Amino acid sequence: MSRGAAASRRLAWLLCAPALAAMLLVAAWPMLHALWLSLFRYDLRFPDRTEFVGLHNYLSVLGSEVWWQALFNTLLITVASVSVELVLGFAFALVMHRALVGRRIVRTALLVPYGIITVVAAMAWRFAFDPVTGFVDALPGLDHAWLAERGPAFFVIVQTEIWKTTPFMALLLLAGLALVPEELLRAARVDGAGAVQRFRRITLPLMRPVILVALLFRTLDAFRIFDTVFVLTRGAQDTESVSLVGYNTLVTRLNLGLGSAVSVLIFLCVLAIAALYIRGFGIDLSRREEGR
Amino acid sequence: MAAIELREVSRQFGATRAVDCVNLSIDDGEFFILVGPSGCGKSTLLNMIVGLETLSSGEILVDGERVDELDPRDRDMAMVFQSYAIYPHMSVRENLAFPLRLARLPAADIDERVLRAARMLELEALLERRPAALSGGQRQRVAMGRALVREPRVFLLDEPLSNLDARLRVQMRAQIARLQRRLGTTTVYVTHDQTEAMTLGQRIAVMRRGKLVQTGTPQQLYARPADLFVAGFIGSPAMNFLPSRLAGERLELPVGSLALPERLRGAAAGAAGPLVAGFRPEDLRLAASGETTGLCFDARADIVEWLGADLFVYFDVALDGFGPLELPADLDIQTGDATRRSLVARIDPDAGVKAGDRFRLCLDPQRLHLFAGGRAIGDPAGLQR
Repeated sequence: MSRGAAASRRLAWLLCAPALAAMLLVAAWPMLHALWLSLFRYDLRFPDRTEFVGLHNYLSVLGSEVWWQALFNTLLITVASVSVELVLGFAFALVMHRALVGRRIVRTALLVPYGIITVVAAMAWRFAFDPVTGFVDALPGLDHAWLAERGPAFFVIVQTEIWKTTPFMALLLLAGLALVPEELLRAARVDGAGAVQRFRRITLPLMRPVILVALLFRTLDAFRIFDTVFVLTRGAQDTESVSLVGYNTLVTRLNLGLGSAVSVLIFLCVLAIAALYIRGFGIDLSRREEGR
Repeated sequence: MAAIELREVSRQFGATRAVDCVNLSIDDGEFFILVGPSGCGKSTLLNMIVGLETLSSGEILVDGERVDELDPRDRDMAMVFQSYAIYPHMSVRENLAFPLRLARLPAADIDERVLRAARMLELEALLERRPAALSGGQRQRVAMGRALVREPRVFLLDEPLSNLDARLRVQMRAQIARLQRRLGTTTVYVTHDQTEAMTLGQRIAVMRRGKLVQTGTPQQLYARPADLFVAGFIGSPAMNFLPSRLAGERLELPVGSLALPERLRGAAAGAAGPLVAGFRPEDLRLAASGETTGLCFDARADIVEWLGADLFVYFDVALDGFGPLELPADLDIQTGDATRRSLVARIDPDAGVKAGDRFRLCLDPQRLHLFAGGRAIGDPAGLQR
């Protein structure tokens, strides 16, 4: 390697160093520490009984009904909310993309829910669905104790998620729509494609990378759902998510060993989802535009 | 097969008239060129014919039937875009088949037509490639192919060659001309390049600021331009222009005076506005020794361009006593300044004129164009060509 190349490589490392150090400190270290803790029986109520137990914590988590139920709940919320968000987000993105008048107002209005803190949004929806004070039950034919039954409780949780994060999806997709060259759509029109065919045969395929990235972001986000469930049901009516299980084990029951094992398992699930998107669907995060 | 007729077609964008009351008939099977500087409305007009742009007023007829309210897909026209507009996520084969799939043709028909078009454009070896793996010229051919496969009644081409390098452009120009002659399909071709217009078109319409200025064969436009704009736009290098004035039956130019030809005399006498004389570079020739016919004058070669078969000599003419020359700004002809103009003569390369040499040129009065108030005057039919 020449002197110049070595110097520029050193500079590259130097420039990356602060970010790398921060990542090691706030991400790698806590994760490794959790991994370490998960191998011990470590209960803060009985600190003197701490001992190395190997994979025993993992076996007991994976052997418990609570974990599998929570995993099922989490996947249900994830799939339901992300798929509805994709469809709605696309509709909003198209509206924003094609809006002729009041473009700015439409965009701003659509983004309001995303600007609201999750806890506040969840609280608002809890009040809205409250049988006594809420406006939902005041609507004719909707007299329900929404959060007291499993199905309706899930509905409230999922719709809160959708309400809050559809704008995010719409924004990502809007950026993707802007990448579809107008001339291609005009060419397709001359070639004989109607509006639906243009969308299906030109817009969608060209937006595939953007759609996959948006889905990846949202799936990972939805899988780690905590605050919405915590505020709305605290996991009652069998609505516990995996994050809530981790929180209960770790913070409520002070079982650091078991709780860490749950955290590590959640991390592995997230890793698996990311791997599925990146390997399975072939997202190329580094090169988003092809052949242009 | 189709004849196209445009009746008082206009397109208004806010306060600007992109296309202003255009009347035009294009014959069945004709290769028709719309040419003009950028922003003259030629692409808008093409988009209106294909249906990508709506009309503010007027009507468009194909074979006597109105089409201006039809969706593009019901007009049976194919278009080639300047950017080619090839679908990047499809292979060459899928690109070619796309319009046929949309028309729900049987698969066997599609295969056959795609192959035929691919053979015509030498794309057979590239059928499975993605557009990203094609060169500019290959992409251009794919765009052409996608128009061909449909066997439409009209081809519309919007500056299809302007993204190619010069050599490829000349090649593709010839190929397009051959294809059009072979298929006999009515073709409307938009370009800003007058060379393309002259070499390809059976007829040319020159557009300027949304209006049709003149329509005719390349020869007609070259020999009898209707105004200063067409005179300066058609031909390369451009026509030479000099300010001039009338003195009895003679016309005075900064380089001397000449007897006005019969055909110009009456019109020049009654003309309003300043007179501008125009003559093509090839209408100047080196004077034989002692020659006095026509208008002969001395010049000093400023720049000499030798192109093998041609020699272009640029020289300056002082405008002493004449006002500065006003030419249409959008012609983009370098006008010199208020006191001098640069002219060009095409002469015999064997004459051996070099930069800095002094030489004598003669102009045949019969070849003179005369413009008053921007319009050509006199009987153009009398012009010898």
